[in-house]
Order: sequence, then C-alpha cells, then structure tokens
Amino acid sequence: MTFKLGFRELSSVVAAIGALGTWGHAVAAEGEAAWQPQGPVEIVVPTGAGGENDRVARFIQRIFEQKKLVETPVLVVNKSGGGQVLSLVYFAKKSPDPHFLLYATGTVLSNQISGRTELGYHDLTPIAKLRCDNTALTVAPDSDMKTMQDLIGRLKGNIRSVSFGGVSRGGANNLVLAKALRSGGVDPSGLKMIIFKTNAQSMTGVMGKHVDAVASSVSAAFQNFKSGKLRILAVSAPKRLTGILADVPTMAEAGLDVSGVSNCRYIYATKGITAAQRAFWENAMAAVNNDEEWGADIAQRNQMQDFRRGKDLESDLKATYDATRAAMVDIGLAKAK
Amino acid sequence: METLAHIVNGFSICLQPINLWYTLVGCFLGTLVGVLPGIGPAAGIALLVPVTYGMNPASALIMLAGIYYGAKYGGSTTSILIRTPGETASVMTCIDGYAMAQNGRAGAALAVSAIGSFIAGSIGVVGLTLFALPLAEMAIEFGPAEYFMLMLFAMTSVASLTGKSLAKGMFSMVLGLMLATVGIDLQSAMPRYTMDIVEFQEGISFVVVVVGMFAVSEVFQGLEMLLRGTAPAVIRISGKLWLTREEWRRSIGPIWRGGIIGFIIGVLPGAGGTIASILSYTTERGLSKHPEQFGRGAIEGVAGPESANNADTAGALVPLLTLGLPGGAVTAVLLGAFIMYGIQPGPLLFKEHPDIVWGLIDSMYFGNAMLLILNLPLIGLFVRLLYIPRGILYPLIVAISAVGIYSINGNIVDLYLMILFGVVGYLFNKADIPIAPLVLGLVLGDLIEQSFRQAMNLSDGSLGIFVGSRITVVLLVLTVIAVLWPLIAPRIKALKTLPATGPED
Repeated sequence: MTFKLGFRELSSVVAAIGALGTWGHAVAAEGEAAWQPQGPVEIVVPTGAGGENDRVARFIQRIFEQKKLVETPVLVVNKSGGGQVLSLVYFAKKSPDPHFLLYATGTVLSNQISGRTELGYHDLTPIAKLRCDNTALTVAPDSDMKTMQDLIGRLKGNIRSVSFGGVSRGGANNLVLAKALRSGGVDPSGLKMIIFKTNAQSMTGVMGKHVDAVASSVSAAFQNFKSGKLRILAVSAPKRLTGILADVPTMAEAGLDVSGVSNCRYIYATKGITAAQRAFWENAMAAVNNDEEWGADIAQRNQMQDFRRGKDLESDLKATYDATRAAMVDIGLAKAK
Repeated sequence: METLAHIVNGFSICLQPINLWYTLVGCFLGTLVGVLPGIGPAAGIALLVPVTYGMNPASALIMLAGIYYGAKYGGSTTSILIRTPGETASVMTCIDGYAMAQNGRAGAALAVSAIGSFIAGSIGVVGLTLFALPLAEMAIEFGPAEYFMLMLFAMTSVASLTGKSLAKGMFSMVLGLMLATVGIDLQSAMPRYTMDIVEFQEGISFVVVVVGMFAVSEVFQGLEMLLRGTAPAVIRISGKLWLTREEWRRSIGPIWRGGIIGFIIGVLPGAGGTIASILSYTTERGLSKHPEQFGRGAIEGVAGPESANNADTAGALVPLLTLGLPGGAVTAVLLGAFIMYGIQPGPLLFKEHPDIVWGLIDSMYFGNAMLLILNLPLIGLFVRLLYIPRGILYPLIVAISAVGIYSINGNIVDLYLMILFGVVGYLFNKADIPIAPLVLGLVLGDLIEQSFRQAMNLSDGSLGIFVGSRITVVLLVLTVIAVLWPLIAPRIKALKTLPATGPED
C-alpha cells in the first residue's frame, strides 16, 4: 500500500478532500446544473445476501437515508454468481444510467487479469475507494516459526516444507502472501497451497496443525489470536495496528514489500455518466466516509479507512491493477504480457 | 458450577415474555422460509437483520436463530407432498417421504418429521449445552484427510440408493460426480467444463438440479399421464392422519440415531446438514431388517434424515460460538449479526457475554417445543394439498419451484437448467434409472475431490495420510464394513437363526 497515514492524519486529509469535493461540485455546477437522483437508486452487491459485502452495502444504504444524502429510495440488489462476473455483466448493461452503484472488491481487477471476463474497471466510473482489510499470516501458537524470517528461512531450504492454507487462489490474501515472499527472495509459484472452501476450515486447519500457516484477513484470525489459539507472524498494514495487535510486526518491518496488492472495497458508477453525476456520488461517498458509525465499524474490524476519489483514485487503481497483475503472473494465474 | 449458574441465568433471559415472543416469531418465519424452495434460511436471516437493528441483542439473536432451526422443520413439508425439497438438507426426504405420501401415509410422514425434528433438535441443544467447548476441539482434529475419509464413508450409501440395477445406479452417480466438477476449480482457480458460460463459473447449483430432477420431472410425468388419460385417482389418505403404533415403534430408533449423527456432523465446518441426512439414511438402511422397503416409503428413511438435519443446526453453532468460525452460509450470516450487535463470537464469548450466549442456547429448547406445536396442527391442512386437482397442482409446483430457484441468484440460466434437469429426470424415470445416486454424487463429488487433492498436496502424494490419524483409521474401518455389509449381513442372520431353529428340528 502506497499511503502511510494513520487514522488521525487520514481524517484531516479526508476533511481536506471533502472540501476539494465541494469545490469540484461547484465547478461542475458552473458547466451544467447540479444533478441529483431522479428515481430509485440501486446499490449492486456482487455476492449473496448476508455476507460481509452485503452488510456493508446495506450500511451505506442506511447512511444515505439517515443523512438524507439521497432523497429517492435506495435499494440493495444482490447479483451473485459467476465469481462476481455476473454483477459486472448486469452493471455494464445499465450504462450510462447514474442511478446504479456497484459495491466492489478487488475481484473486479483480478477477474479481468485472469481472463474470466473482458470487463474491468475501465468499463466503469470509479467513484470512491472506501476501506481496506489487512492480511494476517498466522501459525499455531507452538509453531517453531516465530517471525517472517523463520518462515522465509525454511522456505529457502525447501519450498515444500511449509504448507499454506487459504480460501481463494489468487484472492487478495493469497496475493499479499505471494508478493511478500517474492520480495523476501522466495519464488511463490512453488508454494504448497491448500485451498479451502471456507475460512472456518482454513483456520481450524492451522489450529489443528493440518497446515503450517494461513494467510487470511486480520478479522478472520483475530478472535483466536486474542485467546492464544493462533500466533500472527505479521500483518500487511502500512503501520502497526492498535490494541493487542500492536505487538505484531508489519510486513514492511520484516523487510517485505506488499505495496499495491491489497484487499479494498470500492464504489463504482456506470460508464459514461456526466461530471455532475459523478460529483454527486463522490460527495455522497465522502459524507459516508465521515460518518462516525462508519469509522467505528471499520476500526472494530481492524480495517483501514483509505478514502480516495477523482484523479487520486484513478492512479491508485492503476497501481493496484499493476501490482495485482504482477503477483498473479508470479503464481501462474495470468500470462505475462 | 459457574457454567451451571450461567445456564440457569440463560433461562431467566429467554423466559422473558418479549424473548419468548421473538422465539415464536423466529420459528414461525423459519417455517415459512423452510417451506419455500430456494429461499433458504441464509437469505431469510439476511433480509431480517436490518429489521432487528436497534433491538436488544439477545432478543434479536434469539429470533434470528429461530429462523435457522425453524427452516429445517418446514423443509420436509414440500419434499413429502410435492417432491420439492424446501431446503437442501431435506433432499433425502424426497425419496421415502414422497413415496409414503403416494402410499396414502402423508400425514404419518409429516408427523414423524415434526416429532423427529423436535426430539433430535432437543438432543442437539442438549449437546450444545453440555459439550460445546470439548467438541470445538474435535472440529479442529478434522483436516483434509479426515474429511476425505468421512466423505468416502458417506459415499458408500450409494449402494443403498441404486435400486434394482447396479449399473444404472452407477451411471447415475457418475453423472452426478461429473456435474460436481463444473465450475472454477478451488485448488487451481481454473475453469472446468464451463463452456464459456459465465453462470457456470460457480458450478451447477445443487438446488437447481434437485428441484429439476425431483419436482419438475414429476410434473412432466404427471402431464404425460393426464394426456394419456392414465392418471391415477386422487390419493386418499389411508388410515389415520397420525402415526400408527407400528410406525412409531419403527421411528424411535432412527430419530435418536439421527439426532446424534446430525449433531456430530454439524460440528464439522466442512460437512453440513445434507451430509448428515445422507449418513443417517445409510445408517438406517444398514440397520433395517427390511432394507428393500427403502425408496418405497420406509418411515425410517424419513425419521432418520429429518432428525439428523435438525440436530445439525445445533451442532453448527458449536464452531460459530466457540471459535467464531462459521462452517456454512447460514452461520456466516449469523456471525455478521453477532458482530453488528458488537458481540464477537469466539473462544472468549462464553466469558464475555454469558448472558447472551446462554439466553440464546436456552431459547432453543423452547423454540423446538414451539415448532412442534406450530407444525402438528398444520399437518391436517397440508395433506389437503394432495386433494388439489392435478390440473391445478402441477402448475402450482412449477410456479413454486421457479420462484424459489429464481430467488437464489435472480438468474435466468438457473431456470433453464431447472427445466433441463426436469427433462433429464423424466428420461431417468422412463429408463428406470434412480435419481438419488446422481444427487449423492453431486453433493459429495466436490467435497470428496477437493479434500482428496488437499490431502495429497499436503502429504506430497503419499496415501499414508489416509491412515495417519485415529479418526481416519476409524472411518476407514467403518467404510470397509459398510462396503462388505451386504456380504456379511446374511451370514450374521444365518448364524442368529441357526441356534433358534436348532431345537425345533
């Protein structure tokens, strides 16, 4: 990750960006009349009802309504299936209707890179980057691997001597692991990767010593770390997390580079909307980002606020796309161009 | 002692009138969700979570859990009456439950489902109350090798589902295994047999196949008979609506065993209620004195699986509450709800929030009792469904199935597939090929393949991993016994009858 900001610094930056946004709004308003939704708004979620993405999308819906950011009805629509590709197909067909928002993960990037679909972020209008999950690398509490160096040392001796559990090959946590190991001098293409269907299987896998290590989100590992059933070797956060995680070193401290590959959530609009429409949604999302409950929710999950919009967002997306692509090529999920 | 105090305190929480009310609301909604195919408890709970916002956490969780276990009660109803599983774990009930209804014993099948669900559901809650913490350790013992051996054991039940011809049974099962491979492969992240159809990337949905093969094919069958004028007269309920003494005697064993099997399987994050009901069905057929009745309306084939899938829900709460790890879609949604109320399930939950956990667990005792009371009077109403003229009933089945399937993903391709599998099921019936082995192959195929490859990757290709732990060895022995049972059973019978007949000669 390229930013090096904590919560406090971030919030002041956010305030500044918010101010810029109002300015942008004003500029747009000069060229054409300010826009606001003319009918019901759909927030499209690429996964099923009840999952984490669905929960956050409904959270946004609630803030839209409570703060009267959107006057018309707001609906959350689950378009799951096809490994998130179906939601993109559905969404792309709505262009250039400004009444559709896509709540998206980095899968929009990786699906295009792996060739599952030709649709990618270029077929959408990026509105905002919202929040990022951190990756934790966990081992059993009595494992003889106590640091990332121990792990890398063992892998350099024999790449097949450590087994890794995870839930998605080419998923965000998997790519963070691959990039960290590559920067530590280990070729990740030969890793012994055991992919499980659910987080539960992968975490019980490392607790029961069926696998040696697991790369997961911090929130998936947190409770069992707290009770001493797991040890976290490092987290991918740009700076140390707080609370009981304050003792856990970051990947960067361990001398490993995980920049660019990340597990973030974005809001997109359809392609071809006007500047005024884009400004409206950017401002609405900036207001969501400033919501107190929203901030508390992110902190509670040991995630990070990383609000970006406009040009800043576009260059960040490009950097993430490139880093994601490089890591996917590295583990054989995409062909080098 | 401290725990006992917490358990008692839990009762004082769940017995508050407001919480009893929410238990009832949850159970009622759960029954509705269970009756409709497609709309499962996961979607039902997800839709209700926003409504509970601002409610007292204990009350909200009590209600949401009620939807979860309540759905298992409702799931059997449509399986028995119209051969449409209202909930995936009720698929086994489509076999003998529907056959019982055809024999005029729909009332008994519905009654035994409700009673079995109640007894087994309560067994599950007792298990959850007493053994939650030690059982969490058992869940951790299950790695890829253990899962593979468990699935292999479940696979032996195919023998009990093949019907007359082994070859036809195998054909059906292999087709199911092949269907299970469609989609993005978990280990390699590469597409297999997706034919460039985006909708196939997540695989072919189990519910779509089951509803097509069982329900829609039955409609085609009925349509043909109507057109030919060979439709049988409306089925009359024969005998009383309730269980006969004989039926009750035959059900009690399967209910108990189903309860225990269901609870244990529920604890394992990688298995689930469908696997539990398959294992129960196999066990009952293996123990039965008249296995030939299975598939033709054996009440054991309803009592066992329906009990198992209810006890499974209590089991599934074990890893959720004690480890904070949801093993399936429904428990994942419940986890989200817990977190929304600022309560983090996990090893510290029982220490940090004993009032809420025990209030929730204790409420399940009352919830199960309410569900029994709620469901029994409905039996008289539900069996009337069978009196609906066929010209009305068939479109109704198609409509219910289509709405249910479409509600899963809002995906039109699923509807085409449902009709396609309806045609396949119809052809299977014509050719006298059993459908159940295909369903079994589809459910187990993915799990068995993935756990095998996980294990092989871990062991660097050595098969030794499958005899590497106590659990795998026990499961291997059970599998061998299950495979050889048809050969052993007659001999044991012969041994038993010899001394008995000896003196008479």
